[in-house]
Amino acid sequence: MKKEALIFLVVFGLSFVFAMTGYVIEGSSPSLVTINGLRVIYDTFDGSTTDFDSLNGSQLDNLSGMILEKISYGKVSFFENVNLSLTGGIDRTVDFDSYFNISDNLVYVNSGELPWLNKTVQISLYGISYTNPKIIKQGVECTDCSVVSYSGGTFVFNTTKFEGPYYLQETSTGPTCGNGVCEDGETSTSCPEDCSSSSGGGGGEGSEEPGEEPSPSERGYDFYIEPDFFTVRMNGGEYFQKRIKVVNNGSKDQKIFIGVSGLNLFIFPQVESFDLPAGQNKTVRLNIYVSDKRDPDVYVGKVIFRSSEMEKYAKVILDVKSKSALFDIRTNVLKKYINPGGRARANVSIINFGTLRDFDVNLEYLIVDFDNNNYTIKKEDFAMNKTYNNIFYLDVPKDMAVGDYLFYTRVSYKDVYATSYDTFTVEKLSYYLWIIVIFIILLIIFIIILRIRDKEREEKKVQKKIVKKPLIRKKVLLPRI
Amino acid sequence: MKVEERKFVYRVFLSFVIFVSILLIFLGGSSGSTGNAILNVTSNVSLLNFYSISFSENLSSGINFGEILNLPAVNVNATANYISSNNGTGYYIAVSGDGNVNVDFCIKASGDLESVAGDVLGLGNESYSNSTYTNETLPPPIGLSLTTSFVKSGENIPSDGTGVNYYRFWLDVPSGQPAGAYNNTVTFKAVPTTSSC
Repeated sequence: MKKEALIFLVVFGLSFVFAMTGYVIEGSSPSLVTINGLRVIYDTFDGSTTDFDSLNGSQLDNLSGMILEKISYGKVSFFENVNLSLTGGIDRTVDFDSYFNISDNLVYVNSGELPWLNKTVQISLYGISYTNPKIIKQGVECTDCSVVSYSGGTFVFNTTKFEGPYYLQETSTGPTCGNGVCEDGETSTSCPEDCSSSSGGGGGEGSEEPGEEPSPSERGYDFYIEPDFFTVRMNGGEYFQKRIKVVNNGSKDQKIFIGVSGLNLFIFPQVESFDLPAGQNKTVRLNIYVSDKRDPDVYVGKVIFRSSEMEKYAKVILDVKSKSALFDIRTNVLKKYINPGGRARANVSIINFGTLRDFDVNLEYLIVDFDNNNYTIKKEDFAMNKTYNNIFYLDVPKDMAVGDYLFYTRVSYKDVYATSYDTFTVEKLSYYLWIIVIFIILLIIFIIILRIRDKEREEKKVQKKIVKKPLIRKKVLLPRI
Repeated sequence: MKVEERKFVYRVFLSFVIFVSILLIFLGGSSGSTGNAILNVTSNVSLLNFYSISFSENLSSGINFGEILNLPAVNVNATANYISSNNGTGYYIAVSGDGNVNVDFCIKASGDLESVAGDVLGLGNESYSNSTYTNETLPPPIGLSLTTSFVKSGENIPSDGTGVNYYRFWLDVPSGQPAGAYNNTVTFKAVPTTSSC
């Protein structure tokens, strides 16, 4: 009884000790902040670039004297105030690192990502070696640019509306016959090499003269390019750089001229010509720019590299997409190699991104080559729902030249359209190849016949043996009986 | 009443008392509340220090730095840093007057301020200062950065009913900080004075 009472007292007392006194007291409080400040990303810029980090929001909203510089390549100085809050947009981010490009003989701003920068600016390009450079803006000679100075390799000019890309080109003293481009002042008479309809060669082969003369490669003139085919998919207002390596694998030095066929409004070579010593190579940059004003479509063409002896070209497909397309169309050629006179089949899939249903759309599909010649055009109308998928075919003309072609498709509804393509190759089996194939087939048939005959002979032999053996047994058995 | 019946009633009563005692032990341990009364009991167990604290309404509802539009932002005041009639702070912790020991305060943060998108604002950007009195200049506007381990943030605060520890908080936001709502948790702890955190 006493023991139980003691336990009670201890437990009761302990309960008060633990319940009613505190040695450790804690409490927590959440800490909250909402950040919606303008974020300026400019880590790749240096030199006299504006120190955006030291500016507050109101200063960034009305920024005067903004400078962006890369000391190796150039500088852009804004003469007008800039509101970076507007440029930053909804995500409050101004990403100069990604969308403001100052590099070797190039200044480019992506106006889609960095709007409101179309101000009067001064552009300085460093390390320029042209004798008489001209300013190229958005692929054409700049009309709102004025040269300020050119000395010590630094070319300075002003532009009243900053919207790139900007770069410099050597001003030609006159048309250059043999550069693959029929320039002003050149005619089919004065320069048939550039301006005659048959000029241009084909398939990257050398333009060899017929006759007894040795070919250019036999005379030590040879070069090749890498890659000789490329595709670029871009939106309007975007800029892209593509590099092509030209290798002189001959034994003679060559001067290479660069021209663009079919894509002159989009592709601007870094240089118009260059010397390429034997055994050496040079990487040429192609500035590819698609203006906002260009219609979304599939554009094809060639970048031609021509020396005095031969020419090579890179085939180019430029797929310009619309940022807000109503349709997405895809083309998939089912058989990639087709004979002349054959049939090119393609699976065409169309997705309707809009809300409209059961409306008639027009599908146009045709074969296009890299000289922008069209073949076998077909058009069809059908009702469009959410998706459409079907196989369409185009007959390849019997006289179609061997080479690469596009199966081009375009779906349209009123003034809204989308385009797509896939490539295929027209190839012809040669006469000798046909003879070889027929010979091989005949040979196989002959071998099969021979083997069948051999088998028949062997079977006959076996049968004869079987017939002979019982007779022998009879002979042996007969004496026993 | 027979002896056996009395024994039965006694055992039932004893069981009830033991049950209630055990219940009190658990309730006391889990609530973490402190005593504001002393009950003298005859026991072999000696009583320890006791005290209690209470958070101000502003501190309980959170240390809010509001919306920051301009970056970089330096020493952004928490919304209740200057709130009272004498421009004093609204963030404070009061020590109850019925404790038996003065207390020290400790402070720490759970970690960097983080947004839902995973962006991080370093804890070094969040600072505080403390004092036992508040006006326009106290707690002083020069703060210390919060850390993830407890550090003393007020010492020898009396338990006589006058003890209050006031806080102010500031936040720096560097330029380039991605937009978003950032948060962490600040924890306060009271310990008997001279005890470690």
